[in-house]
Amino acid sequence: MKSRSFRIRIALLSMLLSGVVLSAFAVAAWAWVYQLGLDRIDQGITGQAARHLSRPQEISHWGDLEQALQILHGDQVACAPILQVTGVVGETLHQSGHWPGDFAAGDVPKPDYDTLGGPPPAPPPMGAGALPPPPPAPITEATFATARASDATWRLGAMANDRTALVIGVDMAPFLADMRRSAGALLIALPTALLLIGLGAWFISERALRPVETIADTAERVTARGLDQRIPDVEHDEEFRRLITVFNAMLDRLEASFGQATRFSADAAHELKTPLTILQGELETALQASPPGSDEQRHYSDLLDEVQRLTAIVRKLLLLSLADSGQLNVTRERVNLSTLVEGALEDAEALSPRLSVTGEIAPVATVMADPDLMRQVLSNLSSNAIKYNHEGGRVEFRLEEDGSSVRLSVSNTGDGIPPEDRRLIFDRFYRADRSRSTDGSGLGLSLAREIVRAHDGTLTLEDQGEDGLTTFTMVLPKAE
Amino acid sequence: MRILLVEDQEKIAAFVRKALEEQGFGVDAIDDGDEAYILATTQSYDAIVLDIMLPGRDGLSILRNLRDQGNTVPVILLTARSELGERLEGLNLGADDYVTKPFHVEELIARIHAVVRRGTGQQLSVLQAGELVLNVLTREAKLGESDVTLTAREFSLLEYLMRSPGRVFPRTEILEHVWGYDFDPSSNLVDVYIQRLREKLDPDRSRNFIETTRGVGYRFRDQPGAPS
Repeated sequence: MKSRSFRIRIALLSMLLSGVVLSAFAVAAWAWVYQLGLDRIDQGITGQAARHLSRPQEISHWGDLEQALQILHGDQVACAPILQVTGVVGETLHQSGHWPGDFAAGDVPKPDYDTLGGPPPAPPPMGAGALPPPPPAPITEATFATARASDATWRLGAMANDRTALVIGVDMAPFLADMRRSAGALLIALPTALLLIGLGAWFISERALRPVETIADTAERVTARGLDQRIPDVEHDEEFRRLITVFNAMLDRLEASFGQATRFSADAAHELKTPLTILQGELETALQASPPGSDEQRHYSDLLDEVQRLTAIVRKLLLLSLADSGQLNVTRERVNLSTLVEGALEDAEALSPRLSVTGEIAPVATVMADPDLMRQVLSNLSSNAIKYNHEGGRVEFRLEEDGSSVRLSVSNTGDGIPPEDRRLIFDRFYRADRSRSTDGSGLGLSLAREIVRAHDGTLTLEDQGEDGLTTFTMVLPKAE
Repeated sequence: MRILLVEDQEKIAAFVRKALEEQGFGVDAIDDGDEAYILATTQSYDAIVLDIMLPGRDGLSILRNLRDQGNTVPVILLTARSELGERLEGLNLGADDYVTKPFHVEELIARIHAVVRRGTGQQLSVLQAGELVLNVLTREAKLGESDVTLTAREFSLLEYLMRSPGRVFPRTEILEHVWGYDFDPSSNLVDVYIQRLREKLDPDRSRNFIETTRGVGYRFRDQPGAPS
């Protein structure tokens, strides 16, 4: 599975979510402002029209009105409102000079005569004396439409009284320009806001995930340094506190049972030493006291061998349990590894006359190490190389200085280690030969690795190359 | 020579005492730390063999108190716990040597000899058996007038056998002393090296320095030269 970052995901998700919400909000707000602007234009039209329709007007009045409106708008004739005045039977009484001729049919609204307040008033009696001020003429309610002509978009409002229908148009260009400006502002503001939200989410998630980092760090330290690591239980949120408590409790239990196991094998190894000392001492005394060459003496010698074997296992177990509890303290001194490797090579030759044992050993390779423990590692690597070899095979020692480190490889011919076992070979009691027909406790490699680790070095099994050699490589820091 | 043996495990004390007495040492064996301290400060010993875990005062504090008083008697520690940390502490406190349990009595005796020699200034740096002369300091071996070239291992092996002529050394013991760390006791490493030594020291098989004890091990002959 592709590994994804939770933080990136949180940032992207919050950007997406707030993007949707903000866009919807922006669209709604824009639509509302648009409607508000339109209403204001309509109110202007209505006011103007109602004022001029409230009483009957002479035809010339409309020309004057036109002029007044144009003067009001100065030279910008194109922006000036347009007028169209129609009589009762549909005859045009007045039309502005710049009335666009290309309005689509039906775009120009018609007055809604249904809303005309009551029947048209009777004509005033002819020849009467002083005329009373004429009562306000009933007016229809305004109807509006937005109409597009070739050069501009117009907001048209139509109203009528009983004699005259009036259409007033207002150029929408300034209004639309305003709306475009605010839309432009929104288009800049929105992505900026999204970016800020994304960054904010990134930082907030960093803070929120800090306990997770702490837990991971602790878990890492547990692997590297031992089970006594705990996550500090301070300044954490409720949700994490529970996880931390559970995690720490798990570590407590793990440490307790691991400590028990370690203590047990350390105690057992320790307790075994006294009886082994007695056994060995008594056997030696008896061996020296028995007649030379007798069966009795041979038996004692065999028993002594077995005691020695037992002693070696107990010693390894003790070293391993010390390593497990982090108490494998190495008493370091300057050791010329070359001398030790030459000895191991000499022993390997002596032990296996049928193998070809070769070595490329740098004359001086000094490390800070415990010579006894180093000898143990060497003897283990070399005896494995001999044990798991072919008849007539090869064993190669190679010791070289490599910058600030010293590198020792021990290679051997043989069947090699099956791939499924490669991970297991450093485990306790693992043996390549399941039938147990070869000698050994299965502790050697495991202990060797712990020893090398305690010397700040590494012991690894190399990949089997084309030459088919099984190679173990130890790297130690060079002594200064 | 008088040795003070401080060991609370009765059986260990018994066989160590027996072995030391066979070597002609006079042995006082004590199983209590406090009594041991009184003896160590009031009597004169050539060496003290000191267990660390004791009832009463423990071995390390006995050692510390002795050294604080300027007592320089050679002390060999018997350690049973982690060899590593404890032996360092012991040596820092002024122990002359240490032996880890389980140990070979022969090893203990060799170390007692060594620390006593060191204390009295004698150095048994030349071992001799008939025509064979081994200089431990220069690591040179001579057979009559001619030099014998030995590898480091061969030299250690020969030196070990020559230090106790006549004693039978089981293979296990030789392995542990000369090679140090746990080689498989069933390996024939010792036999191969003995074979090499014989070829170098005695190519015509006339002197027979090293004798095989069948099924057990080897010993360096008391009077090499005569056929056995």
